[in-house]
Amino acid sequence: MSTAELIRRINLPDLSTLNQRLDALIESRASLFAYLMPVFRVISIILAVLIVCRCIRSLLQDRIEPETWAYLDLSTGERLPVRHWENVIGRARSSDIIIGLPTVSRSHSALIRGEDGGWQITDLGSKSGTLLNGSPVVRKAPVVGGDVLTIGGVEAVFTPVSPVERSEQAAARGKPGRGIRPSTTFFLLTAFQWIIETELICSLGFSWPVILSFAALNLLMWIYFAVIRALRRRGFEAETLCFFLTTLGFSVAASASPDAPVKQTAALTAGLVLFIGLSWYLRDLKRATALRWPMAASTLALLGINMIFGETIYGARNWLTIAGFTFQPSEIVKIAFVYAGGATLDRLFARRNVYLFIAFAGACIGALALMGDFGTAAIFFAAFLVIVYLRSGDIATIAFVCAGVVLGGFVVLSIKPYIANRFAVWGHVWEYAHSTGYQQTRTMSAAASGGLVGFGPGNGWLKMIAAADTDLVFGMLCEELGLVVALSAVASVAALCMFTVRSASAGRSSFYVICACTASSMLVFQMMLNVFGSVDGHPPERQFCCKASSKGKNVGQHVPAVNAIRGITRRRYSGRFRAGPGLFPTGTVRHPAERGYARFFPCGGESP
Amino acid sequence: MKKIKQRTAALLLLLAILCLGMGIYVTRYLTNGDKWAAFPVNRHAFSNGELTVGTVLDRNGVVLSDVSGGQRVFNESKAVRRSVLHAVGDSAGFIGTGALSAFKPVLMGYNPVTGVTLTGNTRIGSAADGANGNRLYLTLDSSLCVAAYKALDGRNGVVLVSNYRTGEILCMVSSPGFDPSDPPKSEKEGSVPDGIYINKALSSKFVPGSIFKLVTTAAAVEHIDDPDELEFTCEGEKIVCGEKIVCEGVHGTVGIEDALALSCNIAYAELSQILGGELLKEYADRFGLTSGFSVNGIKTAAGYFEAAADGTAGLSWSGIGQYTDLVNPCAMLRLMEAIANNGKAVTPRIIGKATTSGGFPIGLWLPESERLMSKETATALSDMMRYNVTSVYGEKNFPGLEICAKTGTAQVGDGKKPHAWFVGFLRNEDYPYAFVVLVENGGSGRTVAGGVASKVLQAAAGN
Repeated sequence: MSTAELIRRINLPDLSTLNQRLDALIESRASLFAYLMPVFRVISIILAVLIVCRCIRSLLQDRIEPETWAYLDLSTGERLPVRHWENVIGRARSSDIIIGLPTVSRSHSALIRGEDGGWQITDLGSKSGTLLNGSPVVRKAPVVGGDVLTIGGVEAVFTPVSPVERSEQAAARGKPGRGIRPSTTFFLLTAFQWIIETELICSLGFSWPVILSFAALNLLMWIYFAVIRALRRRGFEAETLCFFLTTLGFSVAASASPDAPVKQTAALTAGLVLFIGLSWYLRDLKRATALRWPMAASTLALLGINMIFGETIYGARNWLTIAGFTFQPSEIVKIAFVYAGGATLDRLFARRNVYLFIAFAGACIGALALMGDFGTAAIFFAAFLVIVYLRSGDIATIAFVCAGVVLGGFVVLSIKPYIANRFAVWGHVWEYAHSTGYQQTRTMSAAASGGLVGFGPGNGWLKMIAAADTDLVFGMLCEELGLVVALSAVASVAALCMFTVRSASAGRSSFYVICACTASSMLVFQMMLNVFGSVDGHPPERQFCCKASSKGKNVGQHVPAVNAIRGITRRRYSGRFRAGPGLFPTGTVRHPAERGYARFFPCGGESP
Repeated sequence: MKKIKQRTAALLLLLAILCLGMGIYVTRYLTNGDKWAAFPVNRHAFSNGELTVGTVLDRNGVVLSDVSGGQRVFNESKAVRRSVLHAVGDSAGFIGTGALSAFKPVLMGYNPVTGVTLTGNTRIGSAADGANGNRLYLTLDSSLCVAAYKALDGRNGVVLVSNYRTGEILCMVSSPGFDPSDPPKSEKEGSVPDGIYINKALSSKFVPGSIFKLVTTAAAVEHIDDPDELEFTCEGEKIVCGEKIVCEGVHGTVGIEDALALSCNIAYAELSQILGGELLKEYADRFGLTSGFSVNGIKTAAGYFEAAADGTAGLSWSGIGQYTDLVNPCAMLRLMEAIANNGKAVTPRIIGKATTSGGFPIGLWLPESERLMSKETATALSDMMRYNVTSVYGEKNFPGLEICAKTGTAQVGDGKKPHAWFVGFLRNEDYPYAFVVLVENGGSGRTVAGGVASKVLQAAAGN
């Protein structure tokens, strides 16, 4: 059943006269609205800036306080605190527990705590080996309180910190001062949404889809808020930024297509559900890591199906239609990619794993390139570089990979000369305004017209250009909502990225950290493609990135992104709220609605 | 864990690139946003490439171009339309120096803060009714332009009149043109006459002929100790450096004043040899005749003067205004303004003021001036130009105007008639006008161009 049919079914006969009367009401008040519009614009800009600034300040204000999970009492008399769940013991300064003796290898062994509270010691291929109570450790062995570890000749007695002691520590730390109330930010965001909604009605005429979808957005937001508060969590700046981006996405989509709001709402709901589900499932590290292989396998299978059965839309054969819904499997692949790339600390040091991952990534990127979706391939490549660097820290590997890509790039350019043309108009798109530079020139022209304040949602013309609501989103934002709001959207993504970096030290496992960084880099890189592709200096994103439009269902494209971003901060909030059972355990809040974000930026998994 | 944490800093690199890119975009937006918004695909201000916001008016509020029913329209009177065509521009933008093309951001009301949101068309697709956009008042007086257009009577040429105290251009007519309400369809080659889209006053250069003698005279006045002592003997023709210099008549023995009034080629041929090519070039450059200047941002064409070698016939002809000399009419106008205004030229300008559609003034256009010559030289030239009229041209031809002028009959070869020039200014404080009249291939400067000038100036002074 298509959406139009669905709407028609829901629309009772009475409503059409009601619609007409409401439309007439709006028309008759047109001059009043004309005066109100500038007021709305100014207020909405102030709100947007406030929301983003508050979130950023709050995110940056939070201090990451170290927790101590155990102690190692050395034979030298030193007492070394164990501050993470995954710790590298070694001579190197980048180790978590530094024993600076020449007999100790740079990365000697790893001391890792599991969900259940049990500890393991793993030898990382050290020269002198690791002894547990006198016997050599082969690969890994469990450690309990009182055990004596011998590392490079140094004896260390292991003493975990008991839960009682930990809560004493927490009490001693004191309450976290929170100068920025998140509920206020949520109120501001709600006000922002109402203003956008009102402006959309004024410009597009009365529209049930718009009203209902924004109502759904409000509702979902506040339900989420209530649930969070019920679980005694205090901070959800990242989610607020996501809801903000979602709102912008709703505005852009509603402006471009009348059907869009319904699909947006469906996608948002699905995204939130997926978000919550994944949050819960993946909080268990063992479960999370066990999922990697099946995910990788199904990813390759999905890409394979896509290559065989996929439809070509806008030049990229990257769409599948199932049960009336058209979507881009690459969105699901992104999730899998993020998780496949993560690794716990003990696995990080095995070269073999990195090579396996490189092979997997190569297959994904290659498949995407063969399907013609170079934009998604580029995003995957950026994420891949991040993962490889995080896992191996090895510049040589990165250099090798980059060289391979450059070669591949040359091959692609020679096969597809139109891409080379796009690069050729770099810097002088205005001379090619009616051919290769079409989209960029239109984007810049419309964007400049909007100034800092914008014409108001629904009042642009850029939306009439093909694929505007996906490829040219930045331009549409500038034109309709103004440069200030567009910049605040960029700032939101930047803030999420900064948050990832800052929270990395608080991560319980490098698995979550790597996943979060991968997801962040995908967000940032995708945003870069969108912004820079639609303005001068860079080829348009059009042929380059996946085309998405306003139909279809996006299946949690960036859920894992923010999922993972939030995942690493589990520990951070442990001092702020009591550990709760059930759906929202300590701090593993994953991002909602990257849905909205997906709508906001291309590759949203929809069909034209 | 620490190791991983350190490596996450790589993300900051990505972030830095994003921030750098945004910084570049914002910078470009601030410097080039007006050009982006003024691109004719922008539906907030254009429809089918036509500017559909903004009103152009003359100094008295006469509407020269407006928007009605979503389309650009022009003044009801055909004479007005034709006479201000090149100043106002056409819908399609073929006339690049017209107000509709050159002053798009002003008409659109663009500024970096509000973009075009206050003055552009917000509801795309609905007819714009001209209430949008800004009102741009040109300095032109449309009735004067009509008088000039009629005086040209279908001949090709230029009529420029400006106020030499303020620089305001009161009349800028260029011919040939067309009716902007009925522009020519350019399908067939040759069906469109040459040059109809060019504002010759700003964008063309012509052989000056005798009007260039003013430059030679200025050089003489400043560089020869007693210019009044100079004497030239004209016998109708003379061999100078192996080439024959021909004069209009046989003038006998003349001083410099009479030489200028009679426009004696022999005298000026000799004078050129005395002064030398380098000096003449220096004066041509100093008077702005060889470089372009800016009329509210519209660049004028640069003229040309080549310093011929001493002792050559070319040097003689160059001082007379032939040889390879070329001048732009507006540059000539500026020179007239300088002579009239004690040596200081107020740069000609075409924008008077601009207001929002509600009448709120916006923008600021301040007069600029540049000293081209000393007050003494200006006075000397001014007196000589007055003497031209009183002794040779005849006051009765310019009744009621205290006119100072110089004629020019520029030979263009190829068997064509010479260009007719008449340039000068009024010494009347109530009508402080400088003028340049050029009738292409019109014939005699005095009768043809002078006739046009007389009609135009009568109209100007009568207002």
